[in-house]
Amino acid sequence: MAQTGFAPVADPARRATTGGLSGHWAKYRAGYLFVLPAFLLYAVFMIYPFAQSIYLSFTDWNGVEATKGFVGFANYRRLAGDDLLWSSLGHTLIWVAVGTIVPLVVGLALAMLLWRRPRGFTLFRTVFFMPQVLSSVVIAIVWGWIYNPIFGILNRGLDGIGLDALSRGWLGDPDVALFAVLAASSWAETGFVFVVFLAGLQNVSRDLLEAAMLDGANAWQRFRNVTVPQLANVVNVVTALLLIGGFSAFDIVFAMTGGGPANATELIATYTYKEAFTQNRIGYAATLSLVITVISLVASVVFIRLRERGES
Amino acid sequence: MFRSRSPRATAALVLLLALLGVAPQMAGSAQEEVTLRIWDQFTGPESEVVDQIYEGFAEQNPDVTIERESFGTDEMRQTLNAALGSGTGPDVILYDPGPGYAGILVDAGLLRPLDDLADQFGWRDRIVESALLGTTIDGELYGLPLTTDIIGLYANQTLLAEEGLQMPETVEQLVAFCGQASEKGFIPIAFGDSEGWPAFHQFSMMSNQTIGPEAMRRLLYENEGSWDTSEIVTAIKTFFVDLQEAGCFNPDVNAISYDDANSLFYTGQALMTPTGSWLANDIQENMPDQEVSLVPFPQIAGSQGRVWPSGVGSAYFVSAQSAHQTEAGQLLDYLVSPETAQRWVGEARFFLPLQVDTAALEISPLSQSVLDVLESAAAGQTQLGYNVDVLAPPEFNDTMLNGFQTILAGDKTPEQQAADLQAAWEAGIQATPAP
Repeated sequence: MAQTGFAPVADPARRATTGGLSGHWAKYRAGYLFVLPAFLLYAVFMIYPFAQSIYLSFTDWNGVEATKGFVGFANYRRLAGDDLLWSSLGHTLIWVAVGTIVPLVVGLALAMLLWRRPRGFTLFRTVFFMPQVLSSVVIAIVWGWIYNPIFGILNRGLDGIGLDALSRGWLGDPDVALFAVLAASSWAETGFVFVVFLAGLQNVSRDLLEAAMLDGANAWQRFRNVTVPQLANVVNVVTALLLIGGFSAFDIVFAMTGGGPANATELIATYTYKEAFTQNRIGYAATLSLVITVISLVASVVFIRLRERGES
Repeated sequence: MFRSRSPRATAALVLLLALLGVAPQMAGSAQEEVTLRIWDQFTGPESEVVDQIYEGFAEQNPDVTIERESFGTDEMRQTLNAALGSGTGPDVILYDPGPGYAGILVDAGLLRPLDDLADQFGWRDRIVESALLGTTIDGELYGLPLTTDIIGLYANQTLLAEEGLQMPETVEQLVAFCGQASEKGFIPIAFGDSEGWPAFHQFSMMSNQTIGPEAMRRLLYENEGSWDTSEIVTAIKTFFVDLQEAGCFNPDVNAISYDDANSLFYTGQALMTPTGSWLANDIQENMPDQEVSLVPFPQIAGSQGRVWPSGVGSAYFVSAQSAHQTEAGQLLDYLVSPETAQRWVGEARFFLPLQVDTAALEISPLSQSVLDVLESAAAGQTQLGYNVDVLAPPEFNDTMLNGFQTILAGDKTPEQQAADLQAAWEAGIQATPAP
């Protein structure tokens, strides 16, 4: 039974020999049935909520009223004049750029250091990966302590080495708060990037590296022209994941600063949350969430296209 | 009709009716069992006392079973809006009475007005008028106020006496006090505003003084007047600019949390801290050997006088969809009965907007001073001010939150903040019902 069901799926070329919808159904029925559970889950938890978000973005619903007033494109028109949206978007772009580049560079550097399995390999691998195991809230709390102006180790350390002019209320200064939170987030993301690169490096051909060395390539040239091209796929995946994660970043900011002080760390996701659950503007929040979706989709597609062009 | 069916079909119908809950009613029950579902926000150590208080009601009413669930503030708002909106919510809710909380539920017709119960049980004779005003929305009483707060300045009298420092009565004296305290190595006033909301209370203290409680009532309840006035600018400037410049606060106010600021006060690093009566119990627990007083904030020159801003912390509401309105009303009255009020004050250590007989209770001098203020207000002898944020729409609170942090960071003027507050007020009252 299972065999007869699978055969047509495994051989799509046979589709051409059978005509009509009923013939198609007869041949692929089992395949569709196997897909059905996953599709139902996807439909219930992805497609339906997404369609609902689009619908809500045309309403002024406050999350409570039984009726959802249709307001046409009013929420979309509001986007253009919403200063807080644009400043949140600016913070999000900084977040995505720094939050992608720093873990990528540091993660790759750490992976390169451990590539040749130096002494203490297991210990370092565990230590570097550790932050990834911690929940964002734990990271937020611990880094909050590090930055604390009363008992935080950062200001104490700066005072101790005579750099007390640099010590400040890191999470309370609108000029540095975003970068202070970014440092905590990058620290956490680096562990993941490091492990993926370490796995990717196992597939890098040592023969090619030796050949390059014999040809007189120096360490940087070997890294840039031999190692990195072989890691291209890993770089692609990691960058795409960091980009998408960056656009929807929420938890660590919410737990560390709540978007403050004075909106200085407000990202588009935290702003959306506040509009929905503090200001009771679900309709406008749905519009904002669609903005996040469009931006991360565009960023991912552009990035993948650029990589494909680079590879070809 | 039943007779014409086959026995199997009849049996199936009976089973179906039984499943639908129709069968017990057909059989007829002499005493209907009622389950009252209560959602509250007691998640702290007082939760056990709350269980006992609810049990007390169930004991007096053997047909009533109480099902209780507790939520944190954010959790409650997200769950309650959806639950009441979809008709599956609780019968009785302990919730915040502000426009962004209970206000939008009232607007959606999901809460029941309590005016008839207030008349029936005589609540208006027992409960502080300003507290009832705090739970009145669109001219009708919707909430039974339970916890009431007053906001002022806590001072460590033990340290002041040791250091020979005089308690300031005016802001001018306070500025001088800040200099003396700093010279002695103390933080004059512990103030942390990393969350943004602590500044709400400082603004309430200042603005109630500069415009007076009556003008504040008209502004909040009748939308008479404006936030964009020289008095409000003075209120903002005095606390968020002048006192900061005079070195009255710890450094990095925006980076210090409310709890951290309290710790500075508990540990004796700071001599004073401006916050509400809700902290009285924590202060007594953390500073058992120190004498601490709570006073209204020192007087701003040219203001209407020192005022205690006060607000309803939380109140009980009844769902409009509850099938057990009678029992819910009885429960509410039980919760503010003289016997239960004694338990709230004596065991849960709450401050209630009622006259409570505390003679038999063990009350610390600090708590007693709060109770005295509330009792004097209940007797009409003291006019309390208004805690602005619990009566303001979310747009206004958001402008307070970010605006005061920006002023503290030196990036905004009090004049601009006053103008922004008025703009946010106008936007807010259009979107949410007036208190």
